[in-house]
Amino acid sequence: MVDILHLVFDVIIALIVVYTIRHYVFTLNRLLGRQRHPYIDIDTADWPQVTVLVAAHNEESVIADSLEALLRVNYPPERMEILVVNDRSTDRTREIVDDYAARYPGRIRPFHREGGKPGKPAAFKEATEKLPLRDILITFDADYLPGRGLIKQLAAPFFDPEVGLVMGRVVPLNTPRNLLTRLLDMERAGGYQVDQQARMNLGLLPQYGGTVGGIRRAMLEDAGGWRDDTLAEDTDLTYRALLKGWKTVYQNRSECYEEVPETWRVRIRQIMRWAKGHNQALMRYALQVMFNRNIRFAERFDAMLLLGVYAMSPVVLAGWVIGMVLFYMGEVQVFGGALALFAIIAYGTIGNSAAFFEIAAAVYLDGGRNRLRLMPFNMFNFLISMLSVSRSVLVYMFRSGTREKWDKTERFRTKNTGGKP
Amino acid sequence: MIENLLLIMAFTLLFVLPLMPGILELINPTDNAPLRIIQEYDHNFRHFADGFRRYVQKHFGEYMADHQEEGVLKDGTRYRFIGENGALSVQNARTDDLIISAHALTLPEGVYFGAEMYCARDVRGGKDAIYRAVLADGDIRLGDNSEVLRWVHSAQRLLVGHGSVLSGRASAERNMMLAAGCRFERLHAPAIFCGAPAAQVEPFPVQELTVVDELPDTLHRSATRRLVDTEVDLDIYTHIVGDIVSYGAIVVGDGSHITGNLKSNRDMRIGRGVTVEGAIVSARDIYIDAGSHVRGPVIAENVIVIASGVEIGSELQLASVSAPYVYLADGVLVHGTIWATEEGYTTDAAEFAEDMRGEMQA
Repeated sequence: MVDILHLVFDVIIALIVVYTIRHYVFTLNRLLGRQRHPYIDIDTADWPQVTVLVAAHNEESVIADSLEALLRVNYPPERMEILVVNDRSTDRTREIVDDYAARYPGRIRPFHREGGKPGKPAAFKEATEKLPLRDILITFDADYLPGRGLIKQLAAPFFDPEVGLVMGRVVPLNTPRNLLTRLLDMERAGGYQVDQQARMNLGLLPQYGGTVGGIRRAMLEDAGGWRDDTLAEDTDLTYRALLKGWKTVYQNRSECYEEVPETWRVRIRQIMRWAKGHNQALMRYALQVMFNRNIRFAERFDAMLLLGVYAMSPVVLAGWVIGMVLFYMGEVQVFGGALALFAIIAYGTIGNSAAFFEIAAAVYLDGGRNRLRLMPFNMFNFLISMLSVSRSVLVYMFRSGTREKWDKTERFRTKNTGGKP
Repeated sequence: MIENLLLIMAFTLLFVLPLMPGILELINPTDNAPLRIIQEYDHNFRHFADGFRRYVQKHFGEYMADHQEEGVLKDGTRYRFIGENGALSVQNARTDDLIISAHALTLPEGVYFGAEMYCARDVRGGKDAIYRAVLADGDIRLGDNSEVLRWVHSAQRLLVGHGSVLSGRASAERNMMLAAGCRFERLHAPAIFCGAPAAQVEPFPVQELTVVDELPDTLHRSATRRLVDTEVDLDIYTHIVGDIVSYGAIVVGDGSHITGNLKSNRDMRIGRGVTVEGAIVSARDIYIDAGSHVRGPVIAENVIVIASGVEIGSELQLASVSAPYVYLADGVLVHGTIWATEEGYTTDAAEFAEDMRGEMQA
């Protein structure tokens, strides 16, 4: 029994060390390596036809701003349409969208769902099945405020026929609100400015995030279309594209404001949903990715690690428990290598939370300084995330097969600002 | 009892101490603003030129002195209106005055112009001059070995002499001509001519094309593209329809016609007289041999080398050429934007041809 515990503990430590090395490699690459932005300078072109998909469910307080911002972009208007997918809204969303569609015929098209399976993936699936769409789909959530040049920036990589998905950078707008928003701002910075960009630099797998992103319609059809049986359609699509030989690219300079959760309740629900969806993708695609020899080894290896990020939380928790058991059994020394190593690096490997040094590097690159004083509070953020993710893993394991309920992230902006942040 | 209290206090202090700077930052935030995104930024090549034009309008309105006049603006900028004869006297070969002229300007050689310049007509610059920025509603002619530090924009034509350096942006609303030996960063015009016209490039003989549908080592084929595991080597006079993505290099034989886009994860070599109706993208280098036509964009993550007589884009469809290093021979014509993030260079055709042959035969 003790030997088994030791073995499991050693495996857990090995996994954590692998993830730590991964994060260090990403951070050092981002700080010192060659940065790849091959498509950012394409500003003159025969621009492709684009459909901007905006998902909306009870978005009366924000949808007008989003549409105003989209109408102001510098993409050739005759090559762009805005398709608002109104998914069973019960507030004034439908009325607002119809008003815009009437005022801007040919530019804004509404698609209203009254029933059907709830959730963004199901809504997009139905919209794309019933309506003709253009070659490139650019996706936004209804509370996003794209800048004038953003659509061109997101469309530019699609001149590369290898590219199937594009992801931009989401930037929290409600950063000053409270401690949680400030911590999430730093976490997002670490995830995008360092983690995603490093994966782009190293030719690994950046992840499509479902918003501020682009999808090549030909890739979508090649990969089997939208799936409505997933809680993380973005992760699911990233891996289906990978398996069909399509690249996902990340554009760090294609930035767009978003709202992050302002309460811990909303934050916990959000991260639980992400974890469930991500682990769903892990179960579906891990073996397919592992044994697909058409994918370069480094890309395949990192794709596996990416799939496992949300599974690591319960693994780390299990490691703590086993570590304590072994310690009280006298099987490990406090200052001996294994336990000390585990204690030191355990926090830095948890799920969506970027490692401390990734966050620090990201804040530095963004020009922030004093906000790093809040870094110790991230211990609590990581702990809450770890418990939430672990809970969602257990729920998924014991309740999988039951119908998943789509859990929309609550909005906090309460008034329209004319499309400007 | 006291020992226990001290222990608790020490523990609390150790726990709270690292949080103190953060607590202070929460109570009195000094760095909590969201990351600044310039919502209006749209990659407009005329961004600085338009900004300067607004500045001139703001401070001078419709007023344009047609005689010599000097002064200081409210923001402390010294300015100088140049009179009808366009004469500009400069002490010590340097002026930091804002130069404004309602008439055609002829500028002396070897002068350092440390402030922006606006001219409502043509500008003719002397050799070896250095300009911070120039905006003209007429043509701009920069003499040999000129240097532009920030930007230059002509509402008509921009002609740049041999050996000049264009840092920042250089743009024109009609066309642009760069002599050999020029260095550049970002260029934009409906037509950018590099060096002398490519009269010496003979048209490539046209022959019947061989249609190719299947490619060896194809890993995956979708409705629109072929994904190939190894190098793609197309024979001369090949016609292929659809996109090609190669995990290796792509070589397109002379006289071929590609109806689609190309992507190579190693070098790409486009032969002589090739037509590509789409984009060409390489994770490394791109070499385009003489007389080819690419609709664009042309994107490489290292070097782009373009030989004489190549045309990128068209008058109706502007395109972009983008790479860290871009080298252009005499007779290259690009419709749109050329962006060399590290170095762009126009070379003499004779010097170029020899290097190019070596690369194409490698």
